[in-house]
Amino acid sequence: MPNLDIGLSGLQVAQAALETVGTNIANASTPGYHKQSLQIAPLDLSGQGVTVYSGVTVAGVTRSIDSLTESEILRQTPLQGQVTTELTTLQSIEQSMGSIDSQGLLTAINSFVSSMNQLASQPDSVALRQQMASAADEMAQEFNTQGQSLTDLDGQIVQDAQNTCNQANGLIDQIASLNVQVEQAVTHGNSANVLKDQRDQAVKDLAGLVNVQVDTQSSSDGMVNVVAWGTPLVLGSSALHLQASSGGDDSLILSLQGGKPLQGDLQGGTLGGLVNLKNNLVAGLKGNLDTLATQLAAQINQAHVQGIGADGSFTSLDGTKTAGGTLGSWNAGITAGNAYVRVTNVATGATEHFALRVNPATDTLNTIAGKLNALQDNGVQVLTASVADSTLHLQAAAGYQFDFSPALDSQPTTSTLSGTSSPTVSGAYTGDSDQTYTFTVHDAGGTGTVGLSTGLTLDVTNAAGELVKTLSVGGGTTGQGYAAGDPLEVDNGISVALGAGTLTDGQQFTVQALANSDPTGFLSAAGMNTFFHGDSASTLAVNQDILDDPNRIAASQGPDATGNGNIQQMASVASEPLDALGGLNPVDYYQQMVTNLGEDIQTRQARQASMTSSLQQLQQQADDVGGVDINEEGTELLQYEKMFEAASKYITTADKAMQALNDML
Amino acid sequence: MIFPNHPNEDLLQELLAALEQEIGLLVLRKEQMSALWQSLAAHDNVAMERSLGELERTGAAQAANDRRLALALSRQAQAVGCPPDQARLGRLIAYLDPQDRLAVDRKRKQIVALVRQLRGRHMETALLLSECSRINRLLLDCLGPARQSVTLYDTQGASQWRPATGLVDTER
Repeated sequence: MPNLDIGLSGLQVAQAALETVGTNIANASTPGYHKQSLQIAPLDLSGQGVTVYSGVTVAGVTRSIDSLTESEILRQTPLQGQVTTELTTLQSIEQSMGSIDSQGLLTAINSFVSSMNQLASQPDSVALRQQMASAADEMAQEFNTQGQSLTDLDGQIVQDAQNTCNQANGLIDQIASLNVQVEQAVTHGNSANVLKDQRDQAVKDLAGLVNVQVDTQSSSDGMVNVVAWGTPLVLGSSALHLQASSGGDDSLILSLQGGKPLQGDLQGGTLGGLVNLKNNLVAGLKGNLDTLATQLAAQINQAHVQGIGADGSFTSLDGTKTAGGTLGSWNAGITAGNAYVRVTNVATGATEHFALRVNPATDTLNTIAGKLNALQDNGVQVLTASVADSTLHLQAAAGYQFDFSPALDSQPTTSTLSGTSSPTVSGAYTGDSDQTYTFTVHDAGGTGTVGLSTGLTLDVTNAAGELVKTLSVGGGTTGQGYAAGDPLEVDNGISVALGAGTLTDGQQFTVQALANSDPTGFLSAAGMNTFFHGDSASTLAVNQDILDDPNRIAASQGPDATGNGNIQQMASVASEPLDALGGLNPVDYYQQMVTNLGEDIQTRQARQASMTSSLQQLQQQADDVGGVDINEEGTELLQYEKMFEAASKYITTADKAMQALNDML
Repeated sequence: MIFPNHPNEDLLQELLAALEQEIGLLVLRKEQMSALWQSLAAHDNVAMERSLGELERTGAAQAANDRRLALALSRQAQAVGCPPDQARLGRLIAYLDPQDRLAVDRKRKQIVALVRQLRGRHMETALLLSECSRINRLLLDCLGPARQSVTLYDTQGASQWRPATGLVDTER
């Protein structure tokens, strides 16, 4: 009965249409739900291909989806995910570092420098020594706090990455499972729209975590493949899981479980942000902080090693524990060359510099100890060196003291003088590099008397053989000759005085002037009379001997432990630009770190705001197409209500008219 | 058969024209009813409104034609001497010439069939309207469940009905 079939088809379609409306209303607040629409097609109930009795049938239920907008949302979501992750972490770092104007490391550095300047004005003050030790300790602790904070952050980032991988893996499993369900629905001719909506939402959630690309083209069964950074995560019904781990170089590595590390620039999503934080941003900050700490310490130590404390030279000295093995393996930048130990004969006051040959490729602490043990003064072993627990210990022989001061010896280094006049060296060498001055006697008569012989001179040449100066030490033609014992300026702060007596033509004496008694860096690395020890911001510490006895602060460079030359040099470190700090001084370097961090944060804040706004607009656009507006649906339902009422009235009236017509026939 | 009066040719043509017009309008109405029925099934509000408008205009035209037909029947009946209370087309045919009778009867049968089909369509549409209206009312209750007769659930299965909420959600 065609009429009944037509009527039934209409009822079924009407019910499906209203069911679609009902589904839309019920899912108005469901995240990711896209409004559905019924597609109606005419139905041929005659079965002969010619539509005689026109019924209707459901051709399909379609999702109202703006594919282009949804794709763009999927493209931008990972970018926002990454910038949000980076911004949150950088802001927490900025809080712990403090701003330029607030308390924190910068204040501690400035306090330490100020304490050195104050001590330089009164090097004998015990209170100022104590103040400097305390300020140094506070600065070291600030470095420790910030260094440890960044180290803890490193660990937290790895943990966050592992947790994020777990979260991503859950979504990957969900997508693969939905793929199966969609495929089954499509195969059986059922609607898969709700399943597709759920799958799209899972992909979108995944896009916040990783940089996804979705391939919908290659499958006709409704399944999609999901790829991140060129690596498949979902292939049809198969799910491949991500994992995060630390690499050998302390970097954060992403890989598939049981697979090799993902290659390339892993940008995008929370995981991309965590990788960038760990491997670049935080690593860079840590590196910069460690550089600042170690360079500041190295510069201070380099001066302090060569200075003398208020208690004078050492009779014994312990270094700090080293890494052991060859000096080159310490990673302390030790270079080949000579380090110098200055030994003082307590009874005579005579000082002598002994060269210690350092070869980092072959020398160990034990071989160095052996070389130190070989040092002798007129056949007497002056030092006893020993190594225990990778720590060097030096003990002076009875009647001797030692230090590492580059101060000039009072007597010439070498001498071939056979006359009765003796030279005395004085002053403080101010040259930038080590120098050996050779003094050669010139007298036309062969032997001259100091202060009397006309034309008696000393030619001073440097190590390059260049004539530096000619000193007149004989009598003057107008009675203004040299007075025996008067110091004569030579070069770079060095003076020499000739005692009364004779000098023989052609004979010589040399004066070795040291600019740096530790150019190899060995003494600093071994912790011999250093101010700081530690190889990073987290491990920086003031030498405990100094904290226990501030008199150990080596404020002086002079042989008699007075003066402020060394503390002045140490204080100048803070204001001198260093090559290792990019030509900046330590204070400016830290300020630049904080400023750069602030700029990084500002840039990311701007990007995040821009992306958030863009995504909101895109989402609004998508919702305009696929979203369910309850008010709109309700208004439509009310309009249907009116239409149904009007149609009912019409049919009643029309049927009566038909009856009337029937009566006429 | 005694034919006391020969029918006026003009009157016959007038009757035939009215019948022909009636057939045309009935066919049109039938198509328009099908369109209304489809728009109801498809829940197409715009098409529904358009169909109803067209049906009303066709209905008005048909009412006018029905009056014209009634007048033609009355005149014809008077012309052939048929009593006015028996002026139905089925009875009037008996008074016509055999050749005229055939033409008129054919049209009569066509109209009777169309009216039957149209009334059948009315019934189907009424049933459809009844069902659509019922579900529509149910959905409206979901949006503004003043009578608390509907319960909604969220995707976790928890009851999600919010009492005293109107059609317009001012929180959105």
